[in-house]
Amino acid sequence: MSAGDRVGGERHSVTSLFVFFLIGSFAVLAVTLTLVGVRAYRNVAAVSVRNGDGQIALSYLLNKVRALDARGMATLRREGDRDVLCLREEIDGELYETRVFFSSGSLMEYYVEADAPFDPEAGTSICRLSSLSMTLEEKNLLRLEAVQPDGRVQSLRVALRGEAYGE
Amino acid sequence: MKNYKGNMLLIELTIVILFFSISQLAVARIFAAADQKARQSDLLSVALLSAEDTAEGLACQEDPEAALRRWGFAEENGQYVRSDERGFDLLVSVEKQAWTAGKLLQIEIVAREEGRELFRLPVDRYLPREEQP
Repeated sequence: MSAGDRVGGERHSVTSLFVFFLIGSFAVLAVTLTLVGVRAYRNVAAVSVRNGDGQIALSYLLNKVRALDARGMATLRREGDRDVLCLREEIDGELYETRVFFSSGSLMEYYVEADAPFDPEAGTSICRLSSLSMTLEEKNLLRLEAVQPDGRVQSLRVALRGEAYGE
Repeated sequence: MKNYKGNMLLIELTIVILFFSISQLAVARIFAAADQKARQSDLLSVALLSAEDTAEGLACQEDPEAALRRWGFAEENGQYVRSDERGFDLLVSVEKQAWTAGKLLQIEIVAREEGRELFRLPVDRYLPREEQP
């Protein structure tokens, strides 16, 4: 092998090594970027779900109260070991009640005649929760505290237009 | 001739990788911005719930200052401030205007993050004279 061939071979090896290094670093950067992108996407999706789902219970309760809290028509009462928010309305001289409570890991609601007995198995599940507490902080200030399935605690006070009656 | 072809291939390869690297940089910036927006949206959502909670509470108070102190707000330069552990502050300013027929309470809740204003929530309440304590 001549000296020229040896120099040419070394140059070829350096070039190959450089190309390999270039492609290798590009591949590493591309994988890193993909992983960063996946993390960012997961975070965006998680925040979006958390913001959406997390406020369903409180927004739902707030809207219910806003729609039906005529004077003397909102009642917070205890049925067994649970708080039940009762929102009454009069239709054709008859009193009906929307009962909102927490049962079996869900926020539940049902609509019955006001004098019907309370049945925790009745009603429709609105959304999943770990727990819900409803208390009257003042005569016209309802305090709602919901614990989300992921453990986050959210609380909201709701000013009642008419006074509520705690029983 | 063989050497010339090799160099051309190398230059071509470098240009392609450079182009993809610049594209990656742009995409990385977009990912970072999306991540930042998500965090901002989370903070805004929590701050809004907290401000709404305060606003609702104040909507039925005859003495808003006393209620604010009870809820952990500290008085600073004529405003009531409460810092939240999630990284935002709520500032509440209360202004009272006496009218012949009653009193107007003008309350404004401002949410701030590191001195930057996130949003402003006005809560006004009119107390007719006969309802005043």
